[in-house]
Amino acid sequence: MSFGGLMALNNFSLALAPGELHGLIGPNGAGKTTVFNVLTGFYQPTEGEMLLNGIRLNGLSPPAISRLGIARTFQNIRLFEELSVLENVLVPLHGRSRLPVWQAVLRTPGFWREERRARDQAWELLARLALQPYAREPAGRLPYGLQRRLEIARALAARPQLLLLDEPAAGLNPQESAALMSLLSALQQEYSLTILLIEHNMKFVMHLCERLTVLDHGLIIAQDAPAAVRTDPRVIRAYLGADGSA
Amino acid sequence: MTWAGFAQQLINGISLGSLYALVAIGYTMVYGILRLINFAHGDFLMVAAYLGIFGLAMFSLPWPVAFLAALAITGLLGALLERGAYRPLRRAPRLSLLISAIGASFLLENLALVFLGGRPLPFPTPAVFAGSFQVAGLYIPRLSLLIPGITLILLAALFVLVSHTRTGMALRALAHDWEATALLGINVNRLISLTFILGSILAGVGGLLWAMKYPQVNPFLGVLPGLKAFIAAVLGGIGNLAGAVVGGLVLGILEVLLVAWFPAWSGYRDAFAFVLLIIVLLASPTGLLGESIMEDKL
Amino acid sequence: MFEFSWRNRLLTLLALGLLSLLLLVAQHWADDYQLRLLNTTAVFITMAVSYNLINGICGQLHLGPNAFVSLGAYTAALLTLTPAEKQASFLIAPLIWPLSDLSLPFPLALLAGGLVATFFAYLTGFPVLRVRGDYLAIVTLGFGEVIRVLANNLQAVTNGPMGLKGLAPYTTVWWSMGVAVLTVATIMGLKNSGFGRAMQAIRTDETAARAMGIEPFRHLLLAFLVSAFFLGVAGGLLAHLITTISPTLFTFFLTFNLLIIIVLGGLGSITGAVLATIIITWGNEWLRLVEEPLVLGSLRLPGVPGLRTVIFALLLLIMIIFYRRGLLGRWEFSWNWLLEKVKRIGN
Repeated sequence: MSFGGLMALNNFSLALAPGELHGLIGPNGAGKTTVFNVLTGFYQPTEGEMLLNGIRLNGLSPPAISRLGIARTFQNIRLFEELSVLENVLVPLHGRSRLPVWQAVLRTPGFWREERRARDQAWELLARLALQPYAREPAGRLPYGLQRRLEIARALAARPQLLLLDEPAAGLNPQESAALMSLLSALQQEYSLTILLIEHNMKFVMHLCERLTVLDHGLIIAQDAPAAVRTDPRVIRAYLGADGSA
Repeated sequence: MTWAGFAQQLINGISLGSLYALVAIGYTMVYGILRLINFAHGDFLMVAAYLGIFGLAMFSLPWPVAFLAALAITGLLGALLERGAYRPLRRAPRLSLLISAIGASFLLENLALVFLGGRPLPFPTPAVFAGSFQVAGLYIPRLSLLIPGITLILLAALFVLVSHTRTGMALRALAHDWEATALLGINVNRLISLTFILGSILAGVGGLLWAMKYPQVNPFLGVLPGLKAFIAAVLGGIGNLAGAVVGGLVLGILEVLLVAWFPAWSGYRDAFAFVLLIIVLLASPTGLLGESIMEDKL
Repeated sequence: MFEFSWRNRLLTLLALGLLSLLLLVAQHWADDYQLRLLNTTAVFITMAVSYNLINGICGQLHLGPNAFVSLGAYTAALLTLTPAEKQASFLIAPLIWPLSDLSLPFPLALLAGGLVATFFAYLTGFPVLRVRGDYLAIVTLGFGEVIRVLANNLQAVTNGPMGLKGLAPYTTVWWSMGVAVLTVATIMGLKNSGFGRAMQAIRTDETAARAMGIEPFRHLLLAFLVSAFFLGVAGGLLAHLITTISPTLFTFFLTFNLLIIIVLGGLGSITGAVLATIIITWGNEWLRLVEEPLVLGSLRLPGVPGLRTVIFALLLLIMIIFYRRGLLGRWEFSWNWLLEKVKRIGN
């Protein structure tokens, strides 16, 4: 992946086992979010191949990739602010619906069935993430921590196999991020998810993830279990600066 | 068509294209900074044309005085428009900003209609700009030389301003990155006002020249030239000053040649620019030279 | 709350019955002027609500509704005129075949008007919906201009600047109100479904919508087609209401009026569009006074053409700068809301 002569990602290679909780870390500008944008089809890789259960993702549009089973959250929360919390979760469900438009306009029994099912699923997700009390509020009016959680709920509504979380713990206090940690590992079990997450909070990643990939200037400098990564001299150098003085 | 005929049409096309270019510059300057199509921009042609009539016919001023006064007032009105209709909406959704621009445009046109009436007024073209001469069998109105000449001088002045002065540097910085410019301690509001003043003055020059070329002034005079100039700006890549000039010339020349080669199609003349716009956007949604129009901001 | 309910369906039927009764009364007791105002209001409700689908619900600034109204009006008018009438009015160039020999009953002509508008929306949807924001605005505006220029020049189809005269006044309050009800029901149905939620998601954050599996092009095209269909039908109704059409009827000015209505009502609110249509069409009648000569005893003040538009332009500016929500914001009427209110007052 390169931007006008500038390599944003180089030789990036990552294989995730089903059910894995994988952390993507690295200093600012290392290309972590770029990995997400490539995986979700917003950027096209210049070389290489992306596969999801053997299905090639190269060249597919973001909506198509989403429907194949990759969902994401955004670093700078991007909810549908004017829609209610419930509606936010309903949107991805529509993306997978096959209901013809005339049924919606004519309010056929098929429409009501589909609507009922979508609403049940949405309520269930809201309940699971303890967002039920806010269901009718505009998403933009939720406090920050709840917005982060709603983004996860919305991503789960897309029924992903692979969930990409971009700094889910950013801006949360220690208690909140501890709660998020247990929530994520519980969700991973319940929805049999594979999770790839970007995070700056080292404690968070080290506790939660089974494996880590460390990026620096678009290059993978380490890919291993947290304990091994922690002591890797190249990782320490990347975080502390080349001369080790910073 | 003979070579002489072709040359004749080319001269007409260049003079029309220069007018489009003058107006297109204003669109592109405002767009470069506010990312807004200033729908009311075309109406400043009409404002300047009427002001020209007042100066010349009502107050019997000598033409340089009348024209300079008309341009000064047009420039101020441009700044006033930004103050009243655009500045309060700077943090609003872009849809609102555009709607405000449309409202401002209708307001200007219909204020003119209310106060000046719908009947076209003749423009008393000063003698300096009138007349024509013949060279090598070609009929050349004096205006056809003056229009490109004046355009050229003004554009040269603008390029010097933008690329060789501190103000110009600040303007370019503002077009590039709004927040960083504000952080540098540059007065963003003053720069934006300046942009509108300059753009409106250029439109005003366009309006005066237009009124001498087609000496009937009515409240809706600026609508079509305005739209076409905007299309010229898109063709050249909006936000790009040189592109606006190229786009204006290309559009003007093509339009004149189309009518010359296919006289039966002259009724479709006003649709031509839009069809061209649709084709260009189909081929490349970024315009010919411009930035991406539909990018995902991630 | 959002569920199928016999109670709500019954209430809707009741309201429709009430409306019919009202129309019946109007038909027998109202004078021509009042009937005409009622008709105009209904046709503008159709236009405003379908225009609002693109601007308010999908959040794309579409500036070419006049084109679709014009297409519908010309199509329907050409189909209801008899071959003899057409031959008589096409003086400069004869009308092309098969339009010259074709004649259809009014309902079919209306439908044809809607379908032709939809077909053109489909053709233009591809270039138009590839761009966003200001570009979408200018391309749709351009489409409106192109259609106007065509209407002026295609003598053999439109009869040029002279337009079409002597159309039968088929548009009764039943037709105009019936179509308005149908439009509101369709677009309300669309809005309160997954499709409508997707459209609103695109309006709020297109990138996020794409990441959630929503195809913007598919949904915007759907909205564009539905909107064009009803605009086209409204054009047919308008033509047979005023019985004379010419290209000057369908300029950008029509778009401007619709824009004021939906901004006043609240972009995205169907209820707001209906309410604002009533306010603007009636206000427009009332303001007619300012453009007519005023006689006070021996003093005669001349009328001021353009003053109404000045007032409306000011209204638009004031709304958008100081009160962007419009009258109703994004609020929508529902029976549940009404029953809630009634209960609260009862207590």
